[in-house]
Amino acid sequence: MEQEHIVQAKNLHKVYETGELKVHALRGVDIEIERGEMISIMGPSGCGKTTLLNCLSGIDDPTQGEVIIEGTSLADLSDNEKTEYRAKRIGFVFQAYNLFPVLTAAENVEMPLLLGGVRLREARKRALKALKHVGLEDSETKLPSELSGGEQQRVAIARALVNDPAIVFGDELTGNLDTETSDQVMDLIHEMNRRNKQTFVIVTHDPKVGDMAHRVLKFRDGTVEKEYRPIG
Amino acid sequence: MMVGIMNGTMSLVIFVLVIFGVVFLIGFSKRALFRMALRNLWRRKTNIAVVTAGLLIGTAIITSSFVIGDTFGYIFKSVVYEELDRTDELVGALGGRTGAYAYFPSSYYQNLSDARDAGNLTSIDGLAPAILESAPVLDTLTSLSEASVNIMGIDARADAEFGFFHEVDGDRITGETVFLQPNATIINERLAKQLDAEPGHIVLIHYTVYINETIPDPRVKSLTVASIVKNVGKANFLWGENLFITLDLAQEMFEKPGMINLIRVSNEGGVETGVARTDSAKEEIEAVIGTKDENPFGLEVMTIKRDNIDIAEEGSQAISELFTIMSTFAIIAGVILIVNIFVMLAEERKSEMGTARALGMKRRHLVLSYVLEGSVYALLAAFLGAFAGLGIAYLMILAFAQIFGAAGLAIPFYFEADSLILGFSLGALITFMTVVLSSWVVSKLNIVRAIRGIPEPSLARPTRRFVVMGGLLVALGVLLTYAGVVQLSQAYFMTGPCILLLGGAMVVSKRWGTRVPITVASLGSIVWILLPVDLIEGMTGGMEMFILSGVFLVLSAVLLVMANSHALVNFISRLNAGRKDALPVVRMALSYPMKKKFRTGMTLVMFALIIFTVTVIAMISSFQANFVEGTYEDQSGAYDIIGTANYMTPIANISGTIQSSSILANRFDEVGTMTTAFTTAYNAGDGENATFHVRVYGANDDFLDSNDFTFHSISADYDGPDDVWDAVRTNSSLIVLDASGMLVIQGYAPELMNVLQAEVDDTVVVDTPLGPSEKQVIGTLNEFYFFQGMITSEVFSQDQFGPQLPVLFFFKGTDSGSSNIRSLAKDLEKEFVGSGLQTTVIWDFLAEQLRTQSAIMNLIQVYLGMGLVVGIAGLAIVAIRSVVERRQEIGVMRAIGYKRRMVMRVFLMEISFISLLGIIAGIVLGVALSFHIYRGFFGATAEFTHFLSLIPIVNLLAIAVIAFVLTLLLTISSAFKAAKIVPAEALRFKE
Ligand SMILES: Nc1ncnc2c1ncn2[C@@H]1O[C@H](COP(=O)(O)OP(=O)(O)O)[C@@H](O)[C@H]1O
Ligand SMILES: [Mg+2]
Repeated sequence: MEQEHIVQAKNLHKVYETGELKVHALRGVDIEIERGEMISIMGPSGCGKTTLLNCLSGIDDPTQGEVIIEGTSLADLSDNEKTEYRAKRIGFVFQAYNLFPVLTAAENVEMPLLLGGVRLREARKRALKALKHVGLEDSETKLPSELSGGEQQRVAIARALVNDPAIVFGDELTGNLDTETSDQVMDLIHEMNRRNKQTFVIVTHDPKVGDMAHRVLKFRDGTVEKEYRPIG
Repeated sequence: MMVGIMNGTMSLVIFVLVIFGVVFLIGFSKRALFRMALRNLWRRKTNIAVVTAGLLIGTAIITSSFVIGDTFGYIFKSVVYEELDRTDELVGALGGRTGAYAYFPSSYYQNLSDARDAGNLTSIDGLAPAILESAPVLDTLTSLSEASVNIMGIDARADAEFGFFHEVDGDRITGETVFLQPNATIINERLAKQLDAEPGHIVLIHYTVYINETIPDPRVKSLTVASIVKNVGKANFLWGENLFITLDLAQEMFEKPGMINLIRVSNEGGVETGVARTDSAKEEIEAVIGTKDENPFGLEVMTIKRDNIDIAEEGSQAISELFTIMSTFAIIAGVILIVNIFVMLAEERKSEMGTARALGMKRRHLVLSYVLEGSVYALLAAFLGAFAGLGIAYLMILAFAQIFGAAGLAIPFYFEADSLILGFSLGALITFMTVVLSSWVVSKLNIVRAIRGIPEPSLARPTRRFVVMGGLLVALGVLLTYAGVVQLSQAYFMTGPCILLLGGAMVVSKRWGTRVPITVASLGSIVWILLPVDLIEGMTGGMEMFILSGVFLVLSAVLLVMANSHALVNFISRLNAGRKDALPVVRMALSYPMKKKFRTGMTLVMFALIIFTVTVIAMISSFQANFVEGTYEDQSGAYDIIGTANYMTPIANISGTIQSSSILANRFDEVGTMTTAFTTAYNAGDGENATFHVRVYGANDDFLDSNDFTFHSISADYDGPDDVWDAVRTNSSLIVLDASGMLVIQGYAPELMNVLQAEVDDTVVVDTPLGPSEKQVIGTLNEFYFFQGMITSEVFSQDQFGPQLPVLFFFKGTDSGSSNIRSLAKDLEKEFVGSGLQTTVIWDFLAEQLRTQSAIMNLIQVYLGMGLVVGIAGLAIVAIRSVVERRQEIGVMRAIGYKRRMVMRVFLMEISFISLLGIIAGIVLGVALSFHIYRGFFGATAEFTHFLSLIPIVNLLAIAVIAFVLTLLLTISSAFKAAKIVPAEALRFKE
């Protein structure tokens, strides 16, 4: 039964100290996420969503509490081990896309594969397949600056998914997109989730996006205020 | 600096003051802008330090080259003032039989003196007759001798106008009372030290009187040292070992009653100011004694002080120019650094600037705010730079003092305020202009793109303007090439085609894209510049060629690299494909510099230029070393020791004396001898107007049979050296010349050298006591160090110039081990002490020359190496900037799986990549260009394999390693900073 929870967070606290000011961003969060689940986290700006995501994905450490991913406690891992784990098992999609501006679309997408030790030729093949999946097979050699926002976000999704991660974290991934593009991107994610049984943890403002998930966590002031399953 | 530049300095200073005045006036009228500029300045404190340091280097380098010129000018001129003191002109005629001054009646002095009393010589405040001869002197008590002592007969009363003698104990004397004692002599400290002489010692002068002007009659004169005087004032005359006697005594000794051979003249004014009246003094004297042609004794007013001051000024100016030219690269690099700094500062503030523009700030206001900020930087940097330059010059002079200290030349540090002001002004101006240019470029940004942080579009699609500019460059290139051919100017002829190619590439890029045309154009330029053949005979070019080729080579190479960046990145990626973690690091490290082409290109140019210069100097240094080693054969003629006897005391039968000497017998294989006659000659092809003083050497049979001097060229009628020397022995109208005339003809020595210029098969007309005599040059030697003139046989020389005895000797030891040779040289001097024989161990002499030369070259290399500071500062700034501007991307990298040390490696690799590319380009291009220089050095004997063998691999490797390690040291902290970035934080904020 434990094994079914791909992510488990117990009593997470996060306190930022900036000078004299202490910001209590997380105040005892408990979450269990199942494998293949698509979960969305919603809430007003500044309530701690990004902080939670960062703690869950291991790019930040909670001040207190424990995160267990696939049975391993992040606290037991060194920075290198956490990084290696992220490279192999986790995908990221950011609000600002955050593609590497000096790399072409294909180079951006194949980067996680190269980080995982896949050989260049094989990596390129899989990157192109991933780009095809998101409908950008013609943009292989384009630089991010030559792509529209929606296209960039699709490249970012291809990059997040190319190495078959167990979990994908998306922070406001539709925040910069218009409604139509946003729908396209979400459709894409939905499909990936269904087809590959990948776990998605998505932070969003947008109720429409949120409601596409299996489960919605309403966040407020660093805690889960309420939780519900939208009827989809 | 030099006197003449004073006006230039003043106007430049005023110009600079006006510019900055106007800028700051505008700044005060737009106070808001000024405040914005100052606030931007203060916001980043570390930036101020780095930027100012970067900016001040140019000024420092300029100032230091001026100050180095100052010091040398000061030293050279001091030497002149100290050795001539009040003497401004000499009246006399060169060309006595010993090459000294010829005698003339002292009535000439009387006439001048009378004219002066009559008020006709108003420019003159001193006049004194003298006899000046050179002879060996021996102290009978200490048994020490000095070979070339200036024996000066003076009229103590008339001489008073030339100042006092300063006795060692402090008294000032005119010498009148001292000379009352019979056979009394005053000697200067320099001579006293050589002889270990003290007052009361008896010294012997060895000299020769020619009976009936022909038969040599050796004499010895015994004198008492009555006083020893300091090496100052007139006692320091010609910086010599000087011995003074009365004029009467001199006339008696040399059997020249009523005759003198020199009149010393002092102009109205002091030691330094008298020179100004040289022309009028010369005119007034000539009005009395006639010009050189009118006067039966060929008396001439020799403007010795002015000539020497001119030479001193030329010399110091040449040194200053040399340093300026060499530092041009560093200055260019400095300018590029300034552009880089400002473009980066601007990028950092892009969105802020965009917002300001959107809010209604005009473009020129933006420029102005930048210019204001830049002006503050420029002034600050130029001010600090001028003083830094002073410090650098001081260190350089210290080093020079180390090198020349052994030679007994004191090198004081000296500078003129003018140089500091000039350096400051030039530095401020260059910095300011660069700042204005960069500000203008930076302000051209697109508002929307700036606010949103979208990168400016790349030049992937050439615009119309790009093509038009290409067309203009093509036209300019054609024009320059044509001008080069017509004016025989290397500079135009080299740069023209390069510009043409680049322009052409820009024109066709519309059709074929930039990559292929730029590749072709840049490769073409590199090949063109390095082409080791002279396409057109007789082209001329100087040091500017070094700078032009350097700049064009480096620019072309960088264009080549940037145009093919993709291929390069792929290549390096593939090299690293197998290694774990390597590929993501390599890709990230290389992609940035290759995409930010402007920044990388500029940094590369900067770095490569510096390394290029240092490399070329290292190469030249190596050529020089080899050249000197190679010249051993040329200069020594396979002899071990060269000896010279004083002309007053030639040695009649040196071989006989050696054989009968207990210490010297059987220690020599060969002893060549030469007599020397002084006369004048001209090249029949050039005509009588180009008449020069020459020496005619009469070589003995031993020399003609056995010398191994190498020939530069031999007339086609002769089979080889032996054939040539045989011809010289048997035909009095055939001669061999040393290399000095050739060196002037070929441009290796300055025209100033005043030597007869003649080549093989030229006819030379030599003046002899029997009238003009035509000689044919059948060979020219490579030798020029130890004797300069024409060689005939001893017999023929005596036939034409009268009886003479040898004064120049060539010894070859039986045992050529260096310690034996050195002791031989000492024993020779001992044996022939009465003749004042002075020996030079040839190998030691040349080795010493080499040591000094290479020490100077090393120093120059270090000086140029300062440019490295510019390059490294540039890279450091790029590194710091990269980390700041890529914070967010570093966050992403960490999130998707780059470990800390991988991030660090990305940054280290990026810097290493640029640095190594610059180092490799600089070294490769420097070595390649040096082949031109190599051919200049070795002429006909140049060979590619020899060239390759001369590449100073260790030296170049050291340069590379030092440059590389320094860049790493300076940038490693940035890489650390990058690695320590916490991903969660970096991702939160947009920069
Ligand atoms: N690195 C940090 N330092 C200080 N305060 C922070 C930092 N990161 C987040 N915060 C604060 O923590 C709170 C939660 O932030 P965040 O998780 O980004 O909220 P959300 O993503 O829900 O908008 C906010 O008040 C924010 O200002
Ligand atoms: Mg957030």
